[in-house]
Amino acid sequence: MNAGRFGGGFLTGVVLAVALSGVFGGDGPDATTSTMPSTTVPEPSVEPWFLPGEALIGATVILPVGLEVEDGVAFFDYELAGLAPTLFGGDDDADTSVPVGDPLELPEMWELTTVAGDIVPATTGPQASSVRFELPSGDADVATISLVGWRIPVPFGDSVNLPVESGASGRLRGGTVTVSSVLEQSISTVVSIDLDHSDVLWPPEVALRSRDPRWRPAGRSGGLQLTWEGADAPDSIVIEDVGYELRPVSGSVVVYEAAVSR
Amino acid sequence: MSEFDYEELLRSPMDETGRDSTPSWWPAVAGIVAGIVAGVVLMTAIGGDESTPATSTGPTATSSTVGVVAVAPDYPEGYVELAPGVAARPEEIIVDDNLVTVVFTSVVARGADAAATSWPRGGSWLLDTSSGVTLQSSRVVFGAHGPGVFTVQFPAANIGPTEFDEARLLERWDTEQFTGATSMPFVGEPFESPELISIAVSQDITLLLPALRLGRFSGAAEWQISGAAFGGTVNVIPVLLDGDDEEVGSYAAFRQVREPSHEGVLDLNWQRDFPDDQEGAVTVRLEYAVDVIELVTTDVEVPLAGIPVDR
Repeated sequence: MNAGRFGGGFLTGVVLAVALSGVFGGDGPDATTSTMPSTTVPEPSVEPWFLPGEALIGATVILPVGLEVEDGVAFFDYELAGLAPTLFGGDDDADTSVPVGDPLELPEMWELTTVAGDIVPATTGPQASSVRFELPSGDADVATISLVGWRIPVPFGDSVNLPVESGASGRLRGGTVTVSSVLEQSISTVVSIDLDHSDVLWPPEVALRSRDPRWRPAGRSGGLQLTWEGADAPDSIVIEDVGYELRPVSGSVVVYEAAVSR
Repeated sequence: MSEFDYEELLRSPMDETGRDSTPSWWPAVAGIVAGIVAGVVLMTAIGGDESTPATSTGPTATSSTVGVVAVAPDYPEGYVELAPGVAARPEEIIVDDNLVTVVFTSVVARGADAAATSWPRGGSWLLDTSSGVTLQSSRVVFGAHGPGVFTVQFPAANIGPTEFDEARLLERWDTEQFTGATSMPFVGEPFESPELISIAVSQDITLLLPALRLGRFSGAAEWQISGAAFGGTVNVIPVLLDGDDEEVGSYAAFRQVREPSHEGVLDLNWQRDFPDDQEGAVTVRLEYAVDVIELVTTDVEVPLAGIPVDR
């Protein structure tokens, strides 16, 4: 009988304790959280794609190599690694035109922030692997380095139907194409086409070609030469430009933090 | 003041039996006390992770060291899987007079070999606008200079200041590859194949080479695919062999991401440095790879909210 009373009391005590903790302790977590200097809620971290300390920009990973500060100049060295698929369909051992594993995003605009809060901008070119910052003073300490702008080589394709006559012209994304000469022979027709992209703000890399493969292309500086074998050349040519523009992208990605790196 | 007789008050009829001198209420009280103690211990255990840091003022309780759960997503943030192992993310929308272009970058899945993963070949897309108009894609463009980046073109005349809600991939172009080789006599350059070359690459699909020209430094191969409803891409590598079947040299096409077609021309370049030429070659071994488009129905939605628009 005593065991039964003890058990009933025990359960009552447990219930009371739980209930009282709910009444008096309900606000506890909020109150304590507000006084904590750092968050007490665990936040998930993302496992690195290559190495800890990397920074991810779209399909490209920036791998910090090192930071060197000397005489008021900071050099931040980095490597780039690409996550984009790079295998072409099927073939291609001999090709060297597309480096495998190349990064897609090309860093361009940087910002270094000193411990004192000064912001130092810098720029780099597409082939760079180091960025140079002129610090405001010789003893300035680096707090963070961020990438704030980069470029993506964006492919485009455009086409225009050009009459096969000297002087005919058309507008493509990569510039203006003009038929500069037509040489009609008994067994072939040779058409020379000029490309002018002087009015394009960011001149893209352009490859002109005919949509009809029977127009045989030949290399020509500043344009395209097409040859039609036979006496039955069409009256017009569909010219395509397939190229790319280095499109700017703005953002802000911290690639170096002194507090973490030390 | 009279002394209150607690014993009398708490006396139970059972006490009259004299079998137990311990007060009858004791087990219940002891149980309640023990239960409260157990309850406090229980609540402390349950809430320990929250309450313990509250009493700590030291620097050790940081989010990077306490209870961090490392996650390993298959793709970086914002990327949507288009095909097994490949995901894409919209980067920009470019609005021209008659064309809306959506720029995508693509990535391979975590742990995959980027260099061993094919580019997405393209597909049929729809572009939903906030004005209710849905645009249909006309072309997917790839570039040899931007690994994994592609643009989807949507013809649209004077689309106006509408917003873009999402892009939908309705049909993906996968490829099935057929490879092989065939040989023919080589009588020196300039070489022209004497007749149409016809190669049955599968039961239904035939690769036709109406013309094959091989010169001192360059050449060309005109190709056609028959039996493939949606076309494909072709690569041809002519390898020159001597009388002992030893390789003299080969030609190769400039590699590029080619859009699917039923016909085309490959411009070929001799792969040996000057002055090595075709001397001694008596056979052309024509190695080919035909990638035939296969349509795969999909239902992939890519949100476009927040994507920069260049008008």
